[in-house]
Order: sequence, then C-alpha cells, then structure tokens
Amino acid sequence: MLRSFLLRLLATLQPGKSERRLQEEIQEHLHALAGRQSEQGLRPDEALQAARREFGPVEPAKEQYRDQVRFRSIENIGRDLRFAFRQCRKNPGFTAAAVLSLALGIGANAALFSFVNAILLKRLPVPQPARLAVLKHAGESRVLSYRQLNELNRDATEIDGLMGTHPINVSVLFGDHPEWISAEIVTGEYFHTLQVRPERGRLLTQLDLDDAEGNPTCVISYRLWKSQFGGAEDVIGRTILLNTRPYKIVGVSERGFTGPDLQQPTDLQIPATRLIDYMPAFVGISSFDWKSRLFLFSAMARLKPEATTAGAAEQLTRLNRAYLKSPKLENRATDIQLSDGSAGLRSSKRGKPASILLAVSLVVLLIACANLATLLLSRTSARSSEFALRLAIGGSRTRILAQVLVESALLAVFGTAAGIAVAYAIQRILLSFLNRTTPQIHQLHVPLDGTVLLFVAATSVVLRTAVWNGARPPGRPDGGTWLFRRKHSQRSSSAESIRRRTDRVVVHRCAFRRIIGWNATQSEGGRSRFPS
Amino acid sequence: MSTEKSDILQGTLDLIVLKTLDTLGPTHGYGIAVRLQQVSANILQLNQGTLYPALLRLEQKGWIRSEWGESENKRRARFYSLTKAGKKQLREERANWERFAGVMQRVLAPE
Repeated sequence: MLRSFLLRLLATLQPGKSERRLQEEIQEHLHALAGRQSEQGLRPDEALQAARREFGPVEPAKEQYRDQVRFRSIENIGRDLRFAFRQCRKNPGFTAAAVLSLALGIGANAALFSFVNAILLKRLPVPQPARLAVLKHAGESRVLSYRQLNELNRDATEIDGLMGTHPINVSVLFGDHPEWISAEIVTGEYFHTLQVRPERGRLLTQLDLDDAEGNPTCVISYRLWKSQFGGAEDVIGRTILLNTRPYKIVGVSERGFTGPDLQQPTDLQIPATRLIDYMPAFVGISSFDWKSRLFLFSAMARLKPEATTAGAAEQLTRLNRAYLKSPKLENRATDIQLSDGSAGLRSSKRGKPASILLAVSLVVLLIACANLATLLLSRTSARSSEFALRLAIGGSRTRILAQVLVESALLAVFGTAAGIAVAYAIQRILLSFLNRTTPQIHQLHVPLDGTVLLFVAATSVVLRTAVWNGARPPGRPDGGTWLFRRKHSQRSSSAESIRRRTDRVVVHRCAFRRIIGWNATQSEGGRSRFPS
Repeated sequence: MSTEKSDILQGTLDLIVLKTLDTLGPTHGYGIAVRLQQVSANILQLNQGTLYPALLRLEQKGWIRSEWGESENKRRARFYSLTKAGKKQLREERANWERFAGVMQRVLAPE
C-alpha cells in the first residue's frame, strides 16, 4: 500500500515521465499489431486501422492508465486554479467587487473583534488570573492609600497578597536621548500578588520599598529589556536615570508581562516609596502624611484557593473599618467590594461598549454575506451557458462543481488577505480616533494577535459557507445540480427562481442597513456615557 | 463449443498476467496480448488497451518490474518480468482460484 502510494506520488510530481512511457508503449503495441496485419497482405493504412480495432478504444485505456499512475485530483486542482486565475483576470470588475466586499466584511469584523478581544476576552498572563480580584470602595472611589493597603494585607487571612499600583509616565535616559516610558508605582506586594516570575535577576519586594530612600531600585519588562537594552545579560545592576534620578535595575519581569492593565501596558515598576520623585507637590510637604492620606493606588488582591469572593470582601470590609477608625478618615469607611480581576484592573469599565462592538461586528458580517450572495447569484446565472457547454462536450459534473468551488476558494483567499490589510487600517483609524482626546497614559492598546487572526480565518469560513448556501436557489437542497440545467424552458424557470432569490436578498440587506443605522444613532447618543 | 467471445472475469486479469509472465519470462505488453490470444484460442475477449493500466497496477504493488529493452524486431519495448513477491502472489492467487473453481464445479455438477 505504502509503496504504491509513494510511487504514485512520485509520478504525480513528474507527470511527463509516465506520459512518455504510456505513449511509447501503446505506439509500440499498435506498431506490432499493424506489422502482423500487413504480413497477411493488408496495405499499411488498412493494417493500422485493423490494429486499432484489435487494440480497442485507445483514449479510455490511456485515461485509465493515467488514473492508475498518478493522483489525478492533485493535477486537477492545479488546472482548476490556473483556470480560476484566468477567470479572475477575464472579469476584473467582478473580481474586484467580490474581493472588495470580502475584504471589507472580514476587515471590519477583524478590526472590531480585535477591540472586543483586547477588552472582553483577554486574561492577564499570570498564574491563575481567575483568583485575582479588583478592590473598590462602595461608592465611587477605587483607590486606596499605601498604609491602608499594607495593613489590610497584613491582617487579612482570606487573601494571598494585596497590591497597589498607580500608572505614571517616566522620562528615561537611554544613552543621550530621553524617552517616555509607561511605568507604574507599586507597593511591595505587587509581584507577589500577581505571582509574576523574574526572567532575569529578581523582582521588587517589601525590602526594596523600605530601602528605597537610600537605594532606589526598579524592575523592567521583558520587551523593554529586548528593545532598549538589546537583551544584554549584564543589565542587572545597571543604573538608569528615571526623571533624572538614578535607579538600579534589579530584574527583568517574565516575558509577556506588561502590568495588570491590559489596555495600558507598562514597562517599568518603581517602588511606591519613591513617590516624591514623581509627585513632589504632594509628597514633598513634610507635614503631609502621604502614606495614610494619599488615596492613590488601584488595588488588586489574590484570593486564597479556599476563599470566596464574598468572604474575602466581608473580611476586608471589617478590617478596613477598623483601620479607618481615626476620626478624620471615617468618611472613607465604606464597604470594600471585590470584582473579577482576571482580565486586569480595567475589565469591568469597558465591558458594555465592547459588547455593543461585538454585536455591530456580527451585523457587519451578515451584510458582507448578503453582499457576496447577491454577487455570486448573478455571476452563476450569467455562467449557466458555459456550464451547459462544458457538460455537452463531456465534462463531468464533479469536475465542473470542483471548478466552481476552486474559483470561490481563490476569491476567498484574495479577500482574506485584503481583509487583514483592511483590518489593520481600520484598527489604526479607530485607535487614533479613540486615543485623540485621552492623555497618553490612558491610551488604549489593541494588538492584532493570533486570536484575532484565528477569528479572521473563522469569519472567512463562515462567509464562504454562507455564500455557497446563498448561491443555491430555494427549494433545491441538492447542492450544485441546478447549475447544470440546460433546456431552454428549464433555464428560464431557473432564472426566475434566481431573480426571486435576489429580490429576497435585497430585502434582507435593506433590513440590515436599517439595523446598522439604528445602531449608529444609539451609540452616538450613548457616547458620552462611554468611559474613555 | 460456443463461438461467442466471453469477457475476462472480473479480478482474474491479474492472475492471467502473472501466470503468463511466469511461463514466458520477461515479455512486452504486445507479447502478453498475443500469448493470451493463443492460449485462449481467441475465446477470451481482451481489450488490449486495458492491459497497460493492469500492468502498471501490478508494478506499483511490487509484483512485477519493468525495464526498457529491445524487441525481436529490433525495436525499443518495455519488458515486464515477475519479481519474488510476484511469484508468491501467483502461488496464492492460484490456490485461491483453484479453491473457487472447485467450488463452482461442485455447484454446477450434474445430479
């Protein structure tokens, strides 16, 4: 079995060789037969005719031989592809329209999905992100003070780590040129809570926080290490200037980790006790006890495996009330609430607009399907005489169907490729639009990554299936056979059914447009409610 | 005896070809066809063209091999010969056939 498979594969790769051998053998056979005939006194041309009669039908024998010697289906696909390319060149208008509608459909979808992916579906790249919870006071405030965080962490038994962080932009000097780096000011429990591992060196601990006055340290991200330090091994122990103050790099954080806010990646962690370098106006006043009074840090806790969210929230609330007993802070003594932190600090804030985006992208997909269905319907009805001709000169139905499939697959490939480019463009435009009014520190970061590309692939498959189904007239569940109806009367009735089908598709499309329009006005009105 | 020609029984062409090659030694396609006509005394109706796909199939299975050679009238021809695996196959198919033919004989035997 294997031997025969390999031989056939080999022959498929060089079809000329087996073809020459076949030609020569049959030629020789006919020659020998003819020779015997002429020995019996026939003229050479009569002898050849007699030889052919004796040999039997030549072409079917050759076809049988070709089927045996090679994998014909592979050859056929190649032939279909070449033909499909020629078809595309012959009808540039149709090709452009089909590719464009595919590209727009897939592109718009992929772009919107990349936002949904970044906002709704991503998880923090840390161990067991589901055990992370975002802390929030009942009411408005999401921020806690440095001392509050440390005390709660010390006394709470339901949690394994409670960290606080605050995003800042830092000017870093690389050689001669300064650059703005997204960084965060973190408490001592930061890396322990997130359970991030060091790629090189070590990560910040409470000891770094306590020692930060005289011995400032920091941790850089893997990607900053690669981009600005060229992945140098001796980066540990180097001193860098952050806002002109010298800091020692003690470690590189795990590859892929860019802080607890997926929409706002950071590349640098600085001890919170160095806050004076970044907020001199507040922290510089010696009478101001910033550690207790400055409610600055967004907080996340890691629940212990056996703890429940409700139990931990209840305990934290109790501890928080006890901590805030000092008279001037009583107004802050509200309940502590915990929300899911698996997607990072800001997951819950953008959930609603993201799901609207998802809905819109699905509607866009439907419109693209309808567009393509119309296109292919008109195209197929225009080609019915070509199919009839091919059938009449002996083409098999399977081969014609395969041809149609290969053609639409080719269009799908072109469309998908163009769609990725369109997705990229749309994403840039949307991002620059969304980020225009927001300060750099709050800018949205949306990667066009593997998940998005997978989605693109899935989208194009859905589109293709929809197209194939859409191109089929109603009441004919038998796939492609309607392509092959030849008689005049039947053809006109088929044209009629296609026309009716087209009408229906147009109606659906109008309905989709209305929905889209409605959607647009809705989000226009609701835009002020969207957090930036 | 009937003068009508009968088609070759489905599946027996392989056995016929193997046996012919076993008897004649290396032979070209035309030679096999001629031998078949002689042996069957023109009773068997063989589409000579179908011999080539069959030879190819046997070759792909490794039962026969082929190489270019020179025919008796000094022309280039492809000669087929039995391999070791082909000899074994021939023994097996022959035993199969004899069993089958025996059964058929008993079935058709007069009361």
